[in-house]
This record gives sequence, structure tokens and C-alpha cells, in this order.
Amino acid sequence: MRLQTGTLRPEELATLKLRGVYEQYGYKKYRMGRFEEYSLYAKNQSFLASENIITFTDLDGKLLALKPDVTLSIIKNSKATRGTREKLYYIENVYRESKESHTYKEISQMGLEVMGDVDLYSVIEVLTLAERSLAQLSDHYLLEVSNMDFVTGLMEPMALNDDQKQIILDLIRAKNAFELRSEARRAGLSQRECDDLASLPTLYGKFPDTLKKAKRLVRNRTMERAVEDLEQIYHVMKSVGLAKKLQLDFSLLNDIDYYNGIIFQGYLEQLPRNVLAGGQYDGMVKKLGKDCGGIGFAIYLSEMSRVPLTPGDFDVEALVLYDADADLKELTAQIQALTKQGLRVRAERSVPPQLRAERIYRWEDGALKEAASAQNGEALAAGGKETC
Amino acid sequence: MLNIALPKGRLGDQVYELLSTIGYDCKSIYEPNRKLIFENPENNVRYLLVKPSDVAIYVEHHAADVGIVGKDILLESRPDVYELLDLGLGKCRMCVAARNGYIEDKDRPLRVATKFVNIAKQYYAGQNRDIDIIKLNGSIELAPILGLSDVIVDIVESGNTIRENDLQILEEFLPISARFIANKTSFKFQNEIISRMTAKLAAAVKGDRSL
Repeated sequence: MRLQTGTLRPEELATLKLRGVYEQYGYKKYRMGRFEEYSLYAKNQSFLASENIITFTDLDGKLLALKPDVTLSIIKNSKATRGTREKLYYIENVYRESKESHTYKEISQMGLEVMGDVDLYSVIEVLTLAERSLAQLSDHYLLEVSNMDFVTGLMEPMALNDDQKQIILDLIRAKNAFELRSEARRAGLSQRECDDLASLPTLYGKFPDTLKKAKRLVRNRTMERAVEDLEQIYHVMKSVGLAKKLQLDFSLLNDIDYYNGIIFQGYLEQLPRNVLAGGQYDGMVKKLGKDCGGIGFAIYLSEMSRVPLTPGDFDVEALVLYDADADLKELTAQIQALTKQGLRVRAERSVPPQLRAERIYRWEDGALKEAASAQNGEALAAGGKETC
Repeated sequence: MLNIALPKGRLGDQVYELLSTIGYDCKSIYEPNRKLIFENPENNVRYLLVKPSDVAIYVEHHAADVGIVGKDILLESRPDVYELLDLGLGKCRMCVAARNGYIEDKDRPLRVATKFVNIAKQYYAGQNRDIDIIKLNGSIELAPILGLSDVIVDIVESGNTIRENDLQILEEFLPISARFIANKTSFKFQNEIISRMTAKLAAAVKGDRSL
């Protein structure tokens, strides 16, 4: 039986193909239940996109949640250590708050995680798989990369309290250069420190140019190492032909308590927000009491429903009209023969409203006869060319 | 084609004047009709006339690539967009106001009437003051006069409405002005066009200031 992939949505096709790709790289499928202990999320609320979680009490009195996230569960259950590596991928539904409708939504999410010994090769492998995932969803994509150590390295020697740091990080994220400068001045930073911070929102673009500009901003060894890592990653990705849609943007920042090093987001031209997000999250792993590294990404498949598909010309290729006199054995056999030709068939007593058919067959004198055929690709619809 | 969400009203008129002087004009916007979309294929812009409080939503949802919106709305709804420029237009201040002769009773929660619930919450949280918020949508100045609230948190421009309704400004805590925002995806895929517009706007704003 041939799989009818023609009517699959891009995200459905993507999950089929990407499973294969991830397994080729040695990732094993991770399956989890709908429910997880609420305490896991309550203790780590700032890792989640929203603090609103669907909770309920189980029959044994335990407080459970409909999972809003998969990564935390993978970290919690991981047996990886510094010397080993665990590579998992998942396709799961998560339950999150929709900011627009102020209601909960079920979101389909696909992703992968590498836990344990995370080195530069792991980072490159994850970036490679992120790019291939984006390419599977659309031709018009870009993968935006950053290294958090560059920004944290720049801000480390600055005399800022936690509140001031938070405000400045938010301004960098919003590419708000003018307010950045005034906030930095208000916090009492030097002219050079103000200039450095204000230049971060403008540090974006293709890797070679952006790295050149970034090098001028290097003030310490942490920042130097960050640039070196990025350079190495770029050269490897370029050598395997994956650098065309790669971009560097130092205003990309995740939560500094959980993420370090390389982080990235994937964008499709047709979608309002990023459809993929990931990075290295050693801080989160440590917080859950494991002594190792972690890196991964998630694809928000539900976002893909916003991509309009060009509707096909027909709903079915064959509409078969029969009446009470029809020989059921013959009718069934002939309809089956039509489906074996690969056609989509619908058998009805009368023409259904709003059905677009390419051909109409009638049961006449003991056999199916073609009664009408679509002209110039214009579908036959109820009340149209065919009269019953 | 760049989609620009323009706020309906005085601010939108001012911003359009500014944009038309730097090469983004669209003469059909002056035609007396009820259309909400105006296109100029020569300089590749499309103006969308939008309710001021909706501009950020259009931009965040990619229905517009860029837009002009007040900082008050940005702080209240916190959309996930890039804030590229302060246009210096529509200047006003976020204030706390009360009736003339008002004396605060610190022994009970303060009743605050406002359109800007999040801004008010954040302001009073920073002062550790316990408050009850009454959300209103307009004519906020009525609330303290009728005893609906002790104070109001609202934007003040000339101060005439405040004065004429026998109110006084207790505190000015936030300068507000119109900002130029961009959708994150649009910024990445149409970076040249948006950066050029931002640079031209920045130069025009600086030029105005030096007058």
C-alpha cells in the first residue's frame, strides 16, 4: 500500500522525515506520559515560558500537571554523567498558556536533547540537525546563532546589581540601543562600557562580517574564547555546505541562569515568531542535581498551521452516484478497483454540497459509467455542471 | 512591500508627515474615504491604519512588518518585538494623580483606577505599597472625583484635563513617547529595508531636535 503523502501538512511530513534523520545520528525516541509531578515545574518556573500550568490531583492524592515542557523531564530522568552521552528525541504534546486568548493550548512539539559529555562536536551536530529540521519545513528559513558567553563575559566586570543586569539584558534582547545607553549611564557605567553595551544590538548578520566586528569588542579571555568557538563552528558548517542560511546575532539571549555558550533560534519567512529554539543549558542540568552538560532544541510544530497550503483543485478524483437498485457486490468491486488506481473515491446517493470532484460516475444498467468530467481543472461541484 | 502599522489619530498624522519627508510618502492616504490600507508601489510601502492600542499586536503577529506605538502600550502589554527608535513624538508622562487636597491614608490599601494595570502594579510593587486596582478604559479622571478610587495612574500631556477636573499630579514617574518597532522575523528577512528606514528616521529625528 502506497502512503498518500500528498495531503500531509508540512509539519506532518516533517515529523516522518526528521525521525529518520535523528535516528541516523543515533538519537533514540523518548516517550513520556501526559502527566508529570507538579513539583518539577513549581521549583523551576523561570525555565518555563509561562508560570500557568494545568494541574490536578491524582486518585492517590499526588499533585500532577499536564506537562508544559519535555526538557525538564528528560534532564530529571537522565542517567548521563560527565563521561557518557545520552541522545534522545521526542514528539510530544505540551500544554501551555496562549497569551492571546488567555486560555490553555495543546502544542505539538518535536525536539532532541544531548545529555552528558557535551563538547564542540556535539554542539555542531545539534546545529546541523537544527538546520536540517528547518530545511524540512520550508525553503525560506534562517538559523540565528549566538554565544551567551560573549555577552556575559562583557558584563561580568561591570558593577551592576541583579535588577540592573536584568533591565540591561531585556534591552539588549529588544535591540533597544538608545535606552540601553541611558540605562547604562544611569547605572553609573563608564563611557566605554556604555558604548560597548549599546553596540550589542547592532552586532548581527552573516558570520564573517559579524565576527570581525565582534573581535573589536573583545575585552577578556571569556569573550575571546566565545569568538574562537563561533569561528570554529562556522568553518565546519561552511565546509559541509550548511552556512548559507546561518546568521550570527549577539542580541539573542536566553535566561543566563540556565543557558550558557551556544544558543540558537530558527525562523521561517512566513511565520511571525521563531519556530525552533535551543541551546546549551548546563545551568539547568546542574540545578536538577546532575553533574554534566546538556544541549538541545525544540520545534513548535503547531506554529506551522499558520502556513497556508495551496488548496488542491479537487477533494476527490471520483464521485460515484448509486441508487437503491445498485448491485452491492458489483458496486463494491468497481469502487475498490478505482481506489487501486490510486484515486480518491466517494460513494454517495446524491451529490454532497461543497464537494469538488474531478469525475462523476453513475450506476447505470448494472455498471459504473462516467457521467461528467472536470473541464480545465475546474472541479465539478454541487449545483454546478451535473444535474441529478 | 513593507507593511507599516500607523496609529489612527494625531500621532499617526505626525508620524506619516515625518515618513513622507524621508521618502516613504503615499499620496492616496489623503483621499477622503474610509479605506484602511494605502499602498505606494513606487517606494514599496503599504500603510495600515490601525487603532493605536492594536499596533503592537499587528506587528507581533507579522500582519505588519513595522509600526509606531507609544511606550505606554509597550510597557503595558510587553509584545515580543524589536524596539528600534525613539521618535520623540507624542511626548507625555505617566503620572499618579489625585483630587486637590488629597491626603493619603497609609493604613489601608490604596485604591488605584487606571487603564494601565501592569504599569501601575509594577510601580507600586517597587514601593512595597498594598493596592487595589480598578481597571477602567477611559475618562479615568472621573474616578477620584466620584470616590471610585483614591488615585489614578494615567498619561498626562498638557495637564489641562487634570487641572480642569480639580485634580493634582502627585508623581511623574515615566516619560512616554512614540517608538518605532519591528517584527522579529521581518527584521531578519527584510533587514536592509528596515535598517534603511530606521537610519533615515533616526537622522530626521535628530535633525528635528537640533532645530
